[in-house]
Amino acid sequence: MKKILIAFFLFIPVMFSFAAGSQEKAAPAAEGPVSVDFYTWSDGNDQYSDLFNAFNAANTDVQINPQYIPPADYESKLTTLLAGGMNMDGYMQKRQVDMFAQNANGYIEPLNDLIKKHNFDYSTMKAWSAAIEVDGKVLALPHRGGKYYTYYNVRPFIEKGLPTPTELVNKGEWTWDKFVELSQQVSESDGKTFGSCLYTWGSCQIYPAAQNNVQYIDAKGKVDLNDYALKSVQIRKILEDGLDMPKLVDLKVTKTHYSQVMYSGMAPMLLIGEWFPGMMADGFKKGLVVDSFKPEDFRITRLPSDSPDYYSVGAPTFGHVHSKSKNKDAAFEVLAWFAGNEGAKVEAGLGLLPPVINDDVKAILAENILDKESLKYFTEDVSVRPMLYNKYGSKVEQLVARFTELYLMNQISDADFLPEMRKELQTISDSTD
Amino acid sequence: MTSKKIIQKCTTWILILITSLFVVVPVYIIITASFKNERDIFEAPMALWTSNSGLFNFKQLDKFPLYIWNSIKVTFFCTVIQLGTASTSAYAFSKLKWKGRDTLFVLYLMSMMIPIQVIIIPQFMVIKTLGLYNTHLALILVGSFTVFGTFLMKQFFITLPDSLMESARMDGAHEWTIFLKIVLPLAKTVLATVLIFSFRWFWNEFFSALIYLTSPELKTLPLGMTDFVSEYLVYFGPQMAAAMISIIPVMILFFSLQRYFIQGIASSGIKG
Repeated sequence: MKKILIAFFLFIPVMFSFAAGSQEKAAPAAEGPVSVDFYTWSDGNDQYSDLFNAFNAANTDVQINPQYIPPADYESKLTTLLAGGMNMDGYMQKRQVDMFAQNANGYIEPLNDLIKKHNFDYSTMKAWSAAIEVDGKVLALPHRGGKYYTYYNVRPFIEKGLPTPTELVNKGEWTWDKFVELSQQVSESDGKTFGSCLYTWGSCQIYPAAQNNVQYIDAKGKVDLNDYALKSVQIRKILEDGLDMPKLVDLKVTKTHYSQVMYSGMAPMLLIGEWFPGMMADGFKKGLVVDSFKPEDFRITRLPSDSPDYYSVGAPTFGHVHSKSKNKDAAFEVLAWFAGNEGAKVEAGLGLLPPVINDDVKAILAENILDKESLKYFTEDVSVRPMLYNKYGSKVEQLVARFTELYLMNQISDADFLPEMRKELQTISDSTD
Repeated sequence: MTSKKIIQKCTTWILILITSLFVVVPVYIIITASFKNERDIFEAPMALWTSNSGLFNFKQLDKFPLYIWNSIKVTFFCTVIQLGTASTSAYAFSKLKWKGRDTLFVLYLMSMMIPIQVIIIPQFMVIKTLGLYNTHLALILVGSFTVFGTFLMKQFFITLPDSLMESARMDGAHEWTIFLKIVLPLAKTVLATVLIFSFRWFWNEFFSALIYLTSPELKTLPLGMTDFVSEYLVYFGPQMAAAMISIIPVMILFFSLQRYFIQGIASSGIKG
């Protein structure tokens, strides 16, 4: 018995010293650069590490201490850290609509005073003000712009003697009906080579609705629907039924990523966000793209639009200063650098759309976007409407995804679609604080 | 053999075959996919080997020896501690008489019904206050107790006759002596069962590791698999290769303790 007890007590310190792994780092010394704990989603070897490294190389008084969280689980861990009172200085927002709940819970530091204190030129952020301001408070600064575009491989259009989306934009004819028509014309309709692709996310099903400012539920909790909510899913159904677009269910089941759709030549046209040129550049570089699709064939233009006043959709990607940070000034400096010219050059070099566009940025973007007209449309100054952008957004997106699937499986008719959705939206509105 | 018996036998075999397919097919997919490139993985029909197949996915697992070592470390300590806490508490709940014993056990059982997402924030606050965030010790401490293991062992201990303990007590044996020298040797099968369950759980444990660990050098195997999930893409090939490697220790453990495992689950009394 004695032996067992002695062994047990000897085992405890051994276990503690061996099992601990590593202890938390001590607080940085008062001298030297201020260390800013900044959280983001990353595998530590991607665009965010490039951005952080660039900042650390360019600054001596503030240094980022990156805290990387696996991208797929970012929201779960970040929510736990914020609620658990983790010491952090700043963090990136992966799912923009989460900002509303985080703001309500007091996790986000308003930046108005810091903007004045640091003489940050906020006028450069005006394009994104709808996405980063709530009730007059600036809650974030973007490090990436947020717009959706039509991306396409020009080769199949030329070979079939069809007008390209860019030509139709120039003529003012790139409407949603024309998108359907052109998708049908360029498609092989054989179930293997399609005309266009919309990805599986709920937000990807509602571009026409978002362009027409359909909020589904507005910021005041009022249900906001019109025929464009139905038209959005009708477009997909028409194209899926005619084998002119990969079926949503197939994309989900086979886990086919939208980049693969373009890389493999499964569809020559894709409507997706501003980060895609970087993915295409990566695909060309790594030899993931079919041989027949050359970098010079890659084109970018506006989304289809039924209105003469063109709106893109999307929201910028941004970061926050944590309300409990002990280094708020330093954390703001980090955000300001990302949102300014220096950060913009880094982002542009990665093939992403920076929040500010100038000649330097355009020159860098031109390395990945070879076609001049594509670069023009990629960097043009147009209004952007955020999609599902209020505290109801994440719930509404799930609802939209569910209704889209029901509609595509013929489990809900055209006549019932809007009334049924209206009912569900009202429930969300009534049950959300 | 009558035709009725033949039909019965055929039906049995068909059912066994279908059930086996549910287990074998995912394993087959993991093994074949671990040698394929991303484009070939979802090709239908699923080929065993393609012209592009090779070891390239395994070459991306250069950090995995460290992740495996971390998993071994955490799993070992958690499993050993859980065996200790489950066996002692099960003994106290089944063979010692004290006030409020059954009420406390019901409360303990009820904690099984609470999902980890509910308790993770207060638990995280405790770990943070103790200064254990980003340490393996955090994982070990939060994994020190097993309600299911305690319940399983209690059910086994109940089947042991009280006369065994009574006679030992009359001979002057201390309660620890009774527990260590009489009860535990009889509980090998159920201990093996709890060991397998605990090992399997901690070997595959992802959520707690995600929450409590942040340094790359502390990552466990399931957390290490997220290295192949980028913002926009999941690289299934190396993930499958990692999954294939991670299955091996569990398989070895299960097959080496299979006899005990089945006995432990099935145990419902003492052989005379």
